[in-house]
Amino acid sequence: MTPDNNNLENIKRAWKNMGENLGMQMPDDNSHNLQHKKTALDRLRNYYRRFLIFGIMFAMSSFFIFSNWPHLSKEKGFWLAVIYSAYFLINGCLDWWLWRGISSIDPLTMGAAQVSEKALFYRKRHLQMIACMLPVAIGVICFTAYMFSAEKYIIAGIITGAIFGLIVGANQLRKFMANYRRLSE
Amino acid sequence: MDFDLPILPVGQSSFSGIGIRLWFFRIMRSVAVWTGNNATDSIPLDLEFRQLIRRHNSTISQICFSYACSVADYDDLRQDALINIWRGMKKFRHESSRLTWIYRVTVNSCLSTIRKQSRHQYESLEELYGLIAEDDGEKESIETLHTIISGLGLQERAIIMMWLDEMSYEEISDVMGLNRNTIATKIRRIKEKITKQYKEEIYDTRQQ
Repeated sequence: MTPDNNNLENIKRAWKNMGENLGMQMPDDNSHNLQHKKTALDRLRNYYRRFLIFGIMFAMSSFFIFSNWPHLSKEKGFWLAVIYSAYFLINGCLDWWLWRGISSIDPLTMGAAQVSEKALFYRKRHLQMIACMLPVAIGVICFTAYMFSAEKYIIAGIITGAIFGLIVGANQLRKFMANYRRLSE
Repeated sequence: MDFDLPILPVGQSSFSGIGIRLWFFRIMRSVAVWTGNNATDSIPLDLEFRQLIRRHNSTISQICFSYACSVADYDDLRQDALINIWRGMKKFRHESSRLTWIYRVTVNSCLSTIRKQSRHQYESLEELYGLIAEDDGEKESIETLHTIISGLGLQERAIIMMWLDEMSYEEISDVMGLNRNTIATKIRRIKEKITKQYKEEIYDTRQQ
């Protein structure tokens, strides 16, 4: 037996031992406990659906909020409403596309290669969309600050939020890059 | 079907665990027929599910263990696999063997969501190995094996696990949804990879 075959036999033996050890653990085979539980894929699907609904709701409520904002001119209110509605609608569309994609993954009938490719594809697109929408979000915040330039308390709030957001955002960006690199391997 | 519902042996008391459940099922089925209620259709499915899980427990656990990087991950993957197996029980059309089907559903459950790496990965892995091995020697061999398998791509892990379980190329091709020649090529490449890594792991262990 060649050394390589020896190594493969050792690996097989270790695999069988692992199987025996794991097989000794009592299985949790009560189907009543499983009936109302959700898988990670179900939760992801619900996550995208929830944000799709939020996107539509915020887009519709933007017009109401900015048209009734005290001491804000009609023209400024209109443009703020348009920008915010467009932003939330675009986010909603992206979430809708991701929700459709994730919903198309069927672990019961698809081949494992197909499931793996689809999961990776939509995870990558999710991260890419965050990368694209982040500068747009920063632009929307800057536009809001410009429109409210006469209101010092709102500007103070925007600056505080921006500092806090940068600190959280830098940490999230680091995790994002690590995740993206891992998916690209 | 590749398994049977348990039959009470002749002469044995009917007051065994499975016996009681079967009698309960018979009574409930009679009540269902009498009331026209079909709620008891899931009872035999429940027994079938339990037998299936007990028979293939080590397979399901091994697959989830190979994709996990912490105990919490392992528990989540296992639960997802069991939920999907339960959901798929009614739809299973015997186009493949039970083992192939279990493999496909479990691997797909592990592949269908991309897991984030744990921040405290070393401690998480130590806890994971301790789950199934108390002896240091056994822990080391499981750690070596887990490290080797974790170093492979997600699809490669699934393929090599099935090869280690001595499944045929046709069965592996059925689970993966790839053609037989592709599977054969991938297995050859994966074997070279894991042999090389195994030598490096053994060398590192001896150096320590």
